[in-house]
Parts: sequence; structure tokens; C-alpha cells
Amino acid sequence: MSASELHIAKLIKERDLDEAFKLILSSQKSKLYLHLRRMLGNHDDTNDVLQETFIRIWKNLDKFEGKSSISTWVYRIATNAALTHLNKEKKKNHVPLKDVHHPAAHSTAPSPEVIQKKLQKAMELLPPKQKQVFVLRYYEEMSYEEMAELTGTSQGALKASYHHAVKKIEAELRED
Amino acid sequence: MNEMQEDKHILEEAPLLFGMEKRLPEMPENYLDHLDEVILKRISIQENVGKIIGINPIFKWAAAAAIVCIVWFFSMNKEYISDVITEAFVEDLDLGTLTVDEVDDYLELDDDLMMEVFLDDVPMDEPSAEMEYLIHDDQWNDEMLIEL
Repeated sequence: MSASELHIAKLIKERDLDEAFKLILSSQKSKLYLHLRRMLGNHDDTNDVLQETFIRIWKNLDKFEGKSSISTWVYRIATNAALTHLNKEKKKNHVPLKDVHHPAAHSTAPSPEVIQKKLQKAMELLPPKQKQVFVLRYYEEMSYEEMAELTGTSQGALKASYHHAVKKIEAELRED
Repeated sequence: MNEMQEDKHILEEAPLLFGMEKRLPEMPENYLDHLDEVILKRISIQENVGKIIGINPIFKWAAAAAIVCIVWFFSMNKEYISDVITEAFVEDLDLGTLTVDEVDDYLELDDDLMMEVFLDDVPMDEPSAEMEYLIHDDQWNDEMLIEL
């Protein structure tokens, strides 16, 4: 754990939960926003889930035992909240209209903008847990060991999942 | 294969994906600056509501009275409720000619229902890597457990 995380853990142990929560909020909100935004694909859902995440952190702060680092613990809460949201959306078959992409017409090689939009679309098609693995590895460059601790899944399954996600996305990017 | 070698291998398989820029998602201006305030306010509201419910004796009395009524209702109408539930099963299973006792006996012998109870009671071992992968790839369903 970093020095600031050790300080937060100490505050929790001493039951100074207000101060601990404020420090967690200020130190983790940016990282959690980026992570959730990549998982969920649009700002509105990210805002809802991020707020829900911090409410859960607040409610469970007194139960933090220090077995993992603060960042791993909050990441786990955020990821579970995102997966719950994605699974709910999957059942409703809901596509948020604001972020429906319409690729621009192109004559030869697609522009970087078009490829970025294709990437977003391809990620939306991944099953939630596979998307989680892809985001953690591709964007956040987390090691498989850290991912295994975060998700409670074996490294072997994570590697297979990531490899499969990459292949699916690459296939989508190649499609006209 | 270590992680570096694996990544090189995956890189070669996905040149488009790994050749593109990893962009940061766009965020509304000053969003994070206001976020603290919004969250702290929500927490404060939740806590105040909790306090009102907690200390107001009327709420406590109403909650206790409701629980007593529910328990009383179920204890006085146990047999009736049991018959209603069993009759619902009768309609569902098209066993309208049987008596309630015969339906009870039927339900005990129903393999599907027994299997559901059995599956709930069997503790899961740690899932295999294959099973975890299938779960991640959204290919897993509970019928595979029966096949295993």
C-alpha cells in the first residue's frame, strides 16, 4: 500500500470514518470514473454507477479489514457495481441513444475517429466479465496477478478471456 | 510463456487494436469538482432519513405492529395458505383430479423439483479454469453443471 493508503487504513482503524471517506473520494474518483466509463460506455450511466459505488464504500467502510489495499477494495466495489448495471441492461436489451455511433463514410483506410467508434461498438458487444478483463488489461495495463486478486478469477481464465476479447474486437475493427 | 511473450503474441494477432491510440474518455467540464459535494449531500440525506425513522417512536410502533399482524395472519391461516400454494401447483401441473395429499406425494417424486433442491444444497468446488473462461465468455449455463 502507498503512504496515503496506509494513512487511510489507519483512519479507518481509528474509526475516523468521515476523514477516511473524504480522502478516498478525492484520491480515487478520477481513476474510478475512467474505469467505469470504459466499462459502461457513456457518461450518464458512469455518473449513476460512480455515485452508487461511493455510497457503498461509505456504508461498508467500517467493515474494511485491510486484507487488500484500499484501491483494490474500492476497485472491486466499483467493478461489481458496473457488472450489475451491465447485466441489468443486457436483460433489458437497452442501447443508450446518446452514444449510438454512426461511422462516417470513408473511401480507403478508416480514419482514427472511425476506428475509435468501432472499438466502442465492439466493446459493447463483449459479455460483461470479458469486457471487464479487457478494460483492466488493455487500458489500465493491470497484471494478471493483480486482476486475479481483484476479480477472484484464476490467471489462466483471465488470460483466455483477454485473448478471446482481443480477437473479437480485432475482427470487429476489420469489418467494413 | 511469460506475460511479456504472451503480450507480444497477442499484439501480433491484433495489429489494428494495438496500433491505435488509447484515448481518455471525455468528461464534462468540472464534473469531478462537483462530484464530492453531490455524494456527501446524498450520504447526509440518507443518514438524516435513517435518524428520523430510528428515533421517531411512531415509525417504530407502526413497524412492530405490522410485523405482529403479518405473523398472526400467517399463523392463523397456515393451512389455507398451504392449500392455495398446493392448488397453484395442481393447476400448473394439470393434476386437477388429484387430492391435495396426492399432489404433495407427487411433488416429492418430481425429479425436476428434486434436482433444483439438490443443486442448491450441493456445495460448489472451486470452478475450473475452463468453467471460469466459459462464464467470462457468456457461454456458461447451469445445464452444463448437470452434464459435468
